[in-house]
Amino acid sequence: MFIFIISGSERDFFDRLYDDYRKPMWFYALSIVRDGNYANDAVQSAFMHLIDKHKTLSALDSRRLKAYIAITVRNAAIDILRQDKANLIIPVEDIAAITDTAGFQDRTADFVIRLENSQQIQDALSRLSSRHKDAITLRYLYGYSHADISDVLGTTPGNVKVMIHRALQSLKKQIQGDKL
Amino acid sequence: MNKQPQEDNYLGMIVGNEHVEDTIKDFDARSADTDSYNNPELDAALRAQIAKKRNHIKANGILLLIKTAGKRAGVLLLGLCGLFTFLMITVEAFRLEFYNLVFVREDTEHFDYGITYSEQELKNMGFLYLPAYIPEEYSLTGTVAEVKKLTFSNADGEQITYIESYTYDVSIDNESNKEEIVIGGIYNGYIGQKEGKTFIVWNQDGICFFLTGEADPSTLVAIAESIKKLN
Repeated sequence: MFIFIISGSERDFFDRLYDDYRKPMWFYALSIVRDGNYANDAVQSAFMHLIDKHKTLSALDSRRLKAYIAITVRNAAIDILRQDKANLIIPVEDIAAITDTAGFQDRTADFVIRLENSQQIQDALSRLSSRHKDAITLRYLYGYSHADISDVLGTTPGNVKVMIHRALQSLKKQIQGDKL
Repeated sequence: MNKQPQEDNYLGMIVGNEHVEDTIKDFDARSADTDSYNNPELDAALRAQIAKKRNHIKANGILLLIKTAGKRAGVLLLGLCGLFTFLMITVEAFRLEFYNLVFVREDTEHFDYGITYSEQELKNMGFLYLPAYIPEEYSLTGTVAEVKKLTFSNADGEQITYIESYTYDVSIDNESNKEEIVIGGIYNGYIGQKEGKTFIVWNQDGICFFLTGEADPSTLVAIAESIKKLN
């Protein structure tokens, strides 16, 4: 009877996650936390999140799944560090302030053309922290809610909303600067 | 149309695609050397997580099955109740129809002595009781509906008279030779002889019945006991 309860795709996803990703997840976490035990904790935390989301993640292509796993592990690792006050590390990129800018008034079509033609978009993106880019990516590429993103980033949905808004405003300011 | 969310969407997609590529590169670069991995403690913990999750899914699946089965059983039970009710009504209606068809003449009441009344006629005439038995040699020769009187005659001119009366009392003089009788083992009455005729008078259901004729007393008693309520 249980064969019908656990579908094949769920079984495959769990096995795939364990077989293919546990090792890279651990090394990725280790590169952030620099400690084997912390890396274990980060991977376990990320793994729990990933298997909880198995239904939505099973539908992702391998590229997006890999990126999602990386984002989850990275944020889990950062959370582990934040919980340990003695080893508190705040990445410089997270400290960088992103200020609000005035509204962008041009037409949407022009905006898109400028986005595609912008030579400095890479620079603008490089100024954003990974955390901000994680939030934007999960919101606009994966289509997740603020609550879902807050689970991954270990913060509140309100914070996620503010984070995304400020990051986008900052990018718009950069693009407007290109125009001028 | 709100322009701002559309711009955010375009920008977010560009950032997202770029960030996915960068993240994958970073992930691959930092986890390139997995051959040196040897972490049985983590492996056991992850396998335990997977087992726990699978058990959770199984439990939820069973709960879901139970809930679904419960809902289906409820719907099925309700359906069965409805079906049984329908069948009971239908069968009862069929049974009544069948019973009426075979055993009851719903529209007409026919008697062997040649009287047939429709239901409507019976209502109009007010005959509530009629004798089911009349000797074969007698036939109906007269009716007086107003006093609910039937007269039967045979070839010899002998008559049997039946009277059903709500309002008329039948007088029996003291000189008559009469004795008490119980019709059908229930109804008290009198049977006697007068002027060469046998008479029986009895009270049944508050109605006074009178039967007289030249036939022998046992025949009249048989007629009296065959009185049948029609409606």
